[in-house]
Amino acid sequence: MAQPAIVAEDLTYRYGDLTAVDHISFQVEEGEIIGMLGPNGAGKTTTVMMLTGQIRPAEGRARVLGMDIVKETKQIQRHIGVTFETTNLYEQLNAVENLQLFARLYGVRADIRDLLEKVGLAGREKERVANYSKGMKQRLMVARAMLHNPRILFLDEPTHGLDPVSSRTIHTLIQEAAERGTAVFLTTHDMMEADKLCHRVAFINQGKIVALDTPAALKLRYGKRALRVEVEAPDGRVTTHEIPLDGSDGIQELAMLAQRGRILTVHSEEATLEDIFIQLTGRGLVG
Amino acid sequence: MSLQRIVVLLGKEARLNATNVFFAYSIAMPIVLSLLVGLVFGDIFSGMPRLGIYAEGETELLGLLDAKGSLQVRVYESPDVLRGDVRRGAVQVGLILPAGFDQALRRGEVTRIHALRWGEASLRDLALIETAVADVMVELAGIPTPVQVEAVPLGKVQVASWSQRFLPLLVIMAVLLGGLLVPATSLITEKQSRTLVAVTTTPTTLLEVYASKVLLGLLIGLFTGWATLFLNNAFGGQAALLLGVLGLGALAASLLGALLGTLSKDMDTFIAVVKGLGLLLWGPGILALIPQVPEWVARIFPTYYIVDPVLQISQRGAGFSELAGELAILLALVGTLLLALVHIVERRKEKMALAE
Amino acid sequence: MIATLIAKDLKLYARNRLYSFLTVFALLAYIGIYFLVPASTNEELSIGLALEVPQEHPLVQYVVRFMEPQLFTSREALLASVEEGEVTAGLVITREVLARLQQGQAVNLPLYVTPGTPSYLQEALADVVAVAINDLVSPGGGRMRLIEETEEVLGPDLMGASLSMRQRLLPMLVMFVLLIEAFGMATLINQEVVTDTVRALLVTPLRTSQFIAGKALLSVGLAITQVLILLVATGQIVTAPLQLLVLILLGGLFMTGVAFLIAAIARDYMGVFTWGLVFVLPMMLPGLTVAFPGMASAWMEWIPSFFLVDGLHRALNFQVSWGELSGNLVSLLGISLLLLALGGTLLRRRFQ
Ligand SMILES: Nc1ncnc2c1ncn2[C@@H]1O[C@H](COP(=O)(O)OP(=O)(O)OP(=O)(O)O)[C@@H](O)[C@H]1O
Ligand SMILES: [Mg+2]
Repeated sequence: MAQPAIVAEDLTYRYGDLTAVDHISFQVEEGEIIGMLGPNGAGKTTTVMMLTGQIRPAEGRARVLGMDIVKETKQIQRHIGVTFETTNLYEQLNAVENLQLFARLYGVRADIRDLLEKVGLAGREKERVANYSKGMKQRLMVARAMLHNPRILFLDEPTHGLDPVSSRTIHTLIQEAAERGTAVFLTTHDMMEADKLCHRVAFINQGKIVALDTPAALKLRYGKRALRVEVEAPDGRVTTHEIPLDGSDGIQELAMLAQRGRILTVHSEEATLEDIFIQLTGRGLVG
Repeated sequence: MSLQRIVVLLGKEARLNATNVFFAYSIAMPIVLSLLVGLVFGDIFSGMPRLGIYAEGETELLGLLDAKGSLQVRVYESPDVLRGDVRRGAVQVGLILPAGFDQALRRGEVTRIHALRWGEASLRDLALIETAVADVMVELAGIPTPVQVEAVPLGKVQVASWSQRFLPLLVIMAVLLGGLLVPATSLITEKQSRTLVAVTTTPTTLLEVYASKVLLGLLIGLFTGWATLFLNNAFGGQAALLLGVLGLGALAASLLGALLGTLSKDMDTFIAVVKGLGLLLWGPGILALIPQVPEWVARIFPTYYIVDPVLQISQRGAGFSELAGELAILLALVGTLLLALVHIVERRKEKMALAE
Repeated sequence: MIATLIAKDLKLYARNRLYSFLTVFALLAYIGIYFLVPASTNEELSIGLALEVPQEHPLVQYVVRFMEPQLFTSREALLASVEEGEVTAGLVITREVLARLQQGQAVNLPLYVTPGTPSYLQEALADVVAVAINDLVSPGGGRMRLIEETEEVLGPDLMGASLSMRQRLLPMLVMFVLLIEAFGMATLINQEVVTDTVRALLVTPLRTSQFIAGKALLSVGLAITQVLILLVATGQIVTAPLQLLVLILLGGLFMTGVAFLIAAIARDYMGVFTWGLVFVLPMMLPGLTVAFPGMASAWMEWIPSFFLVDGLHRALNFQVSWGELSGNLVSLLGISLLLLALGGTLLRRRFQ
């Protein structure tokens, strides 16, 4: 198959003495959605900035679509779409004018009306962006990034501060893009979003990748394979029992519990991404 | 109302507004205008001729010329510098006087002097310089001058020069814009960035916020008013009384600014309103430019009661008793604005309370 | 791509109501000031003379020859005319004055002057009359016989027909237009940095150099347009169209360099304002000295904008040849390129 969309090797960036990104390596395939999770100041935005050619890595190298991010920045930028952490639209222009401007810069004829429809801004497109709500601006930024059907999307917290409906709109857009073969590099603080959307997630902490895998694999690795069972005894007392799944007699144990009383709930004890996040980035782990 | 909180807020206002364009504008504008009017209608434009002199020896000519009120005299240390200044027109004529010039003149000997003339100098300036120099040389040579000529200005004793006629307009603009712009624009920006709510959810009351803004406007208006008078050589009379009246005027302007800032939806509306109010505010100043208009017309405009007392005190040395009537009207004006503002602020407060 | 950027910037300019209002207002104000300022040279000084003695008298003849006064039939007519300002000053020669002069007695002559005459001019006019009459009646026999004066003219000799205030003002107004535009351009660039839109632009195929070139073209274009409007509205473009065009073009480049420098140094809007003042105020000085030469002094000729103002002044008012202008043009070009290179480099570095 084709080459990977992003290959990063030992990518490093320093702001003065502070090493914001510390020798990270990873690979993203076409059509893959990868999520970057990590606490504030972990180096997510800095990584995006290096990969999109806004800053030069201090060490290491990366190839985007087979091109070097330092030497072939402008060729790369033809094929990528970027949204920024803070909105940076031309607030005095309206949505259509904003998109037209960037369509011209990319040299493409985009169906702006259709795009605005998709991000739910149809009907307000002639208003100055300054009058938009935060979510509307955010959606317009995503539209701007997708204007030229890029082969890679870099989205820095694209759903930050959006209502569930708006978030879902953007999720759909991202998934559709991925189905067309676009690689998506996403940073987020929303674990549910990462879980639902991303094929793989990377946990980054203090500039280092501390874990990188599919959500399922991570949950397996960091969670306990166990069932939590709540049982109501005939005298009305409720007790909780944990049944490891790796033992051979799990089913028997469950059957025994069922005899002792009424089973109220059965939950799998697998970890959520949030648990993993706290585990990986909490004080205990790093230090 | 806590005075301490108002002072804290005032400090914050002053710091924040230092980055406000209108702050810089309201301070710079009257100063720039004064200089402009001074330049266009003042001494430089009226064109007092300029003479440069380099003397190789001692000469009394310098002192005598200096005493003359009809031209500016600059003394040079080197002929080359003089030459440069004549070439660029800094002085229209440069004279190079030889050593022993005075003695030769007194002895009645023929003396050589070298004159440098700026090619662009007008005949009028050249003639004026020449006669002034001649007059002094005659005096120095001890030649009797039986005829003395004294200029007698005709007509009404005081005819306002253009710079005097502009003074009322300048004072109005300085006090009004100085006092009005900053409270108004800072209120509008706070409204837009919703910081007002952030402050008033602390123990600070809305009235205190307004008080600090009005106070800042008052200080700026007072300063710009004073600067304008000072720059136009018009700060005279009873200083305390003058400052008091300027302060009242600035307070009126500042209150008006706070009112407009509260009522205007955004900056564009505010600018439109100020433009609309234009004639009402600048009226007395504009009328002063047209001496044919009878004076009572100016009394219709509220700002008359700011600018007239100011000029009465500074120009004609009027005292408190003469101005009592006008000052009473000014006080009434301030009172009305104050009541209107307090009323509106109270209503706003209710609205905000309802919204919570 | 650059054209797209320029179109966008023009749109933004037009949407910024305060800014576009100020631009139009300033331009109109400059044109207004130009036409408000007198087109004639310093008003002529005229002296009126009313005689109560025969005109054939030698003293009268002398005064008439020396001062070329306007003659009045009566004292009343003269005074009325002086009060109206038709003549600047009026002198009445009575029988008594003549008699005293002939006896060698001291005389005190009143010289009536128009109301509102500045005091220095009152004194100067009195001097003129006193010197003239004393020269004649004094037994010493005239002062000028004592002095042998050699005269040397510096600068283009206009033979006393000096330039009008309008002519002196125009180079300064052009300078003002350019410098205000530098302010505006610096603000525009700074805005892109502050609102971070420049980052959005630069992750597209647009190059930093193209971004800077777009701003430069727009800025030079806006500057030239405004100055041209001013020169056409005042009708002065016809004096030396080609030379003026070249000077304006260089002026636009110069101003763009200044704008880049300000935008590169300033962090935020306030920075633009402060640094703008730091750069722009001194640059205005050479313009002021053309209008008001009394302010001129040698060090001001080291201020870069001097070459522009001086060039404009000479092209507008003295019909100089290209050769005479070449010094200004070369210096201006050199400085402009230097400023552009410096400002451009600093800006580039800010965007990385
Ligand atoms: N311009 C800068 N100058 C100096 N340090 C910076 C700069 N930008 C970021 N940093 C530092 O680099 C580190 C990584 O920042 P980065 O913005 O990449 O974090 P992030 O993971 O995106 O955080 P967040 O989740 O808050 O967006 C932080 O410690 C931050 O303080
Ligand atoms: Mg970030």
